[in-house]
Amino acid sequence: MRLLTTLFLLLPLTLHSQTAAPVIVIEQTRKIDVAVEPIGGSEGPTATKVLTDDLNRSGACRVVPTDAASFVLSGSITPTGLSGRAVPKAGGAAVVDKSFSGDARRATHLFADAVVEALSGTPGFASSRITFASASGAKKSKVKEIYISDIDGANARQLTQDKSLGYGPKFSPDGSKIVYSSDKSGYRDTYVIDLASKKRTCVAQFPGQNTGAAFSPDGSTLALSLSKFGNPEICTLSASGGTPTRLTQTRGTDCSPSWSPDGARLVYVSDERGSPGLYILPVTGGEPERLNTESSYTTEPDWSPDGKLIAYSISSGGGQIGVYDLAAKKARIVSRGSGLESPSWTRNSRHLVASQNGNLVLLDTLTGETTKIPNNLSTNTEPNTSR
Amino acid sequence: MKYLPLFLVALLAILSGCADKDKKGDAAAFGDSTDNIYDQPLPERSGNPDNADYETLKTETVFFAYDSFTIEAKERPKLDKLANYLSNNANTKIVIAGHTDSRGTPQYNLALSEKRANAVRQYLIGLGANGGNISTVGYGEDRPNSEGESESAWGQNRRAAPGILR
Repeated sequence: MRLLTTLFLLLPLTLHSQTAAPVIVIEQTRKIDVAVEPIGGSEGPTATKVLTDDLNRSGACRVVPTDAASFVLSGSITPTGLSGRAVPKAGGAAVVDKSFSGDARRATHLFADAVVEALSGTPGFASSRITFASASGAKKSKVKEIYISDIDGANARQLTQDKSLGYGPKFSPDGSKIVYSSDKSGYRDTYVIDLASKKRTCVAQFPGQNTGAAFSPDGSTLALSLSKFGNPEICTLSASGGTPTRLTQTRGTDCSPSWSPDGARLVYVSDERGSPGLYILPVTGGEPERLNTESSYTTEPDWSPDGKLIAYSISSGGGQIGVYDLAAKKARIVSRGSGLESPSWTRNSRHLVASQNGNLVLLDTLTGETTKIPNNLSTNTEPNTSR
Repeated sequence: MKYLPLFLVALLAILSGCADKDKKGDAAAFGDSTDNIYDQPLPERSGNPDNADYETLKTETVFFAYDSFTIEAKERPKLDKLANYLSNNANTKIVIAGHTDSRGTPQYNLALSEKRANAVRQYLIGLGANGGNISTVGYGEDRPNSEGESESAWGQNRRAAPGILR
């Protein structure tokens, strides 16, 4: 059941001469009007607010007074979580009628995702988490530690106490692990943190740098940038460590691999032809294919969960986010304003989490709207979203 | 095309009959784009770059243009001096620490800073230095020389600094 209809408005934009991707395509999406009845229980008021915020942030729904709503949501906090219902106001069977487990916030996020999926046919992301680096200290001697939080910014928690420079945390596909790189040994190594046991394993400590690792969709393999050959190259490596397989052979700097959802290909950054651009390569090796994004200085590609899109940073225009459509072979700029980088898709292949001048934001690629993801930390960089 | 001028320099070197590529830093550091025969694998790690002595060889710090790992002609005398130091101190192990300015994104800046360090290392090897004594580390944009955000501050931050490992 897909209730979303879209209107397309083409807004020509004056762009920096180096940034040629021509227009921002803004789709005005029609949202499903829902009403949220106060949720019962001692944590009910909190849950009601969390649910309302989740639905408004989803891009699929809009919370309105009951008279204007098409669906009415109700629920109550239970000892194990939340029991939630969504029914059409016109009458008929409930589209959601289920118990969700977890603390009040967690269970409410799961309820919101179930409502969004039932009404729009696309997955919700309210129950996702994000991991990111946050810097502190003087500019010349700063440290960057790795953090995790809910996607609405709540429950922020520091994972590392390395007192060194941590980079590029990324979730494993099941969300149970985080891979990141740190120079806590003096050199930049790659580590995997098991979130349940809080154990950390060093999986790559080859000469030079070991960074930018991303888990394959089946969780078995890491793709990362290694410089042990005398030059940063894209490699794959078992997620538990071992001998790397080298995939690129260029004179340029190759970094930031991201997997296609079927695990067959990687998109990565190389500057072998001048300024950094995006390339796609089969995981088995072969000839890289360059993506024509019509922008210069494009980095940080992230392949969408539905496999159709690649999001990336455009530095030449002062920090914008682009999206490349693989079927149409067309690029568009999806952000407004500046200072945006490090896009990471949410489950719906529509919203991205990104950093903007040290803050974390949620960016709707259909409308260009950003919503700040609040936390009390400074200089947040390189966010990654759990699937 | 950042490689074009280098290609022309290399072409000129070949045309002028200077085929001794191993002695020419240019070929070692940049070469042509067809293969990697001049890439020298990095040595096993030694020491800790965080505690290295970056003062003694400070004047041999090499500076780079924006988004470039090309070692410019004006910087090369520093590396002649550094190669000379290494040949007089055959047991000294050094690290080349690469850095970028604050523009660009974190992972690419890490890779670019590492590439700058690699380019200096390759150049030194081209001058006859023992590659086994030269490690590299890249700090991206996070260990600036200057805290400013201006052309001159950025220029001071785009660098590869030699440090003596201890």
